[in-house]
Amino acid sequence: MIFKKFILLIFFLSFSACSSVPIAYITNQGSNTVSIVDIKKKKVRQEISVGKGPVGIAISLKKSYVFISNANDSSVTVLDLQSNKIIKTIKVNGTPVGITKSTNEEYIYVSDWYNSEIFTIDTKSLTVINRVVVGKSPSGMICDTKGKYLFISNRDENTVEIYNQSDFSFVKKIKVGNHPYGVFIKKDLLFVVNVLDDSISIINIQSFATETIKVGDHPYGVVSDMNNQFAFVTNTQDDNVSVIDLKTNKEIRKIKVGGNPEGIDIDDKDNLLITSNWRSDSISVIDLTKQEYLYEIKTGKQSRSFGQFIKID
Amino acid sequence: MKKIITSIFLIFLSFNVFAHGPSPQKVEKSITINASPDKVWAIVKDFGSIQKWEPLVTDSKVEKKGEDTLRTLTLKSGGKVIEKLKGIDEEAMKLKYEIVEGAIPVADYNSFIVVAKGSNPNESTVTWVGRFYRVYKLNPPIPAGQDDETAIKAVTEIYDAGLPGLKKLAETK
Repeated sequence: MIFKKFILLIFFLSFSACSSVPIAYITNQGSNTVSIVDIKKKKVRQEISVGKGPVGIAISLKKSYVFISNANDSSVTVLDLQSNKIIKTIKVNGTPVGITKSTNEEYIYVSDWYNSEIFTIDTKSLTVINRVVVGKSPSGMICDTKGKYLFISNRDENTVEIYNQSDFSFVKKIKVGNHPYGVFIKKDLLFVVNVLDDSISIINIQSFATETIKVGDHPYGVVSDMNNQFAFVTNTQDDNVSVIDLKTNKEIRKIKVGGNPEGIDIDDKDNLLITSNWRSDSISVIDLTKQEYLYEIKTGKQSRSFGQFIKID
Repeated sequence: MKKIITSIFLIFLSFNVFAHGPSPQKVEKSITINASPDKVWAIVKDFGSIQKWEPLVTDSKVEKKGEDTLRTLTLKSGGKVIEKLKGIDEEAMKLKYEIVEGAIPVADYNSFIVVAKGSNPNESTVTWVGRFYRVYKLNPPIPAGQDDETAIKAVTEIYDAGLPGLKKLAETK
């Protein structure tokens, strides 16, 4: 009897260890909401009203917050991760688009597309504590895992800029393709999409050597897997995802998804890839290792989710 | 003096014509046509002949520029628009194009027209979708005629006139 219970316990523990609950936070520009989606259950748990024209998203597990940039009403919404309730709306001037967390999650960086500034939000006080003028039309941003750099794509000057996270001092500016937008980092590789060149740039952040790879029509977002074997790019005007083999730096496959895929995020743990689809008001779920389309989940209107939008337990 | 300031302002604006606001706009319209998909697709994919079914376009001239196929449309309202063919997908019966420049009050306009099978062999559904931005890229106040509403209205009018025109042509031909 005791043995039987023990077996059951083992079974239960191993089961719960495998069953994480990845949740996607999807910004819906057309309905001014965020959809909270249980990816495995294929269900929208909640749809929460935020500011106008929500675009970007950043999740801080450490601080238990979700930050949403609202481009059309100059604000950042702060959502509590436990209760999924809005705890603050931070008024910022200008047009917040890109949003990302610092490596230590003490700060949230927000790019102001029109005024070409980066705001720093303190995640303790939830106030703007710093503004720095950067290149023209900053959009995508990401921090490295070591806590050293912040990378910014400047859409209207075709550059990526690098700043030190510690004191926001300028490090370097690198030429990329035409209209850089979404960015991603994994290990030593920084990925940048060039919207009007239909390409991505891959920059080695040690040597700063850059490679350019052709993808589909109007790419917006990019991610890569845990070991940098494959990169995945949303082609907004082709309704698909390009799969790039990072050994040969060539596109090897296109995976059909919903209409106008913009945001893309990866969940290595659950072997999933998610795109948010602006035209079809949905997210598409892809099997990461099989590189196959799995299913679609309806969200709010004009889903964008610019940034890292999956919360992984 | 006022004229000079206005023209300087206009020159400045024209330089920024490819930059845009952060929120794309969408117009999506469909129509059911009592004609076979093949017949409808033959009309849709003829990139240089949109004036045959779009009442708001009075003339269309196609030219090749290197590898690009461009058409210059004359609008009923008087202005001209240059559009670029981005692709013809025979299998999907989908034509993709974009506006290069012109008199329609939009920025970064990308569009496709797709023909789908209807409920019987002699029926088709045509869907026309546009994704674009308003003309004015800066913060509010947004000048009249350069806002989201103006952009959406202009595209909606074109689709609302064109799809019935396409239906009429396909069903009578």
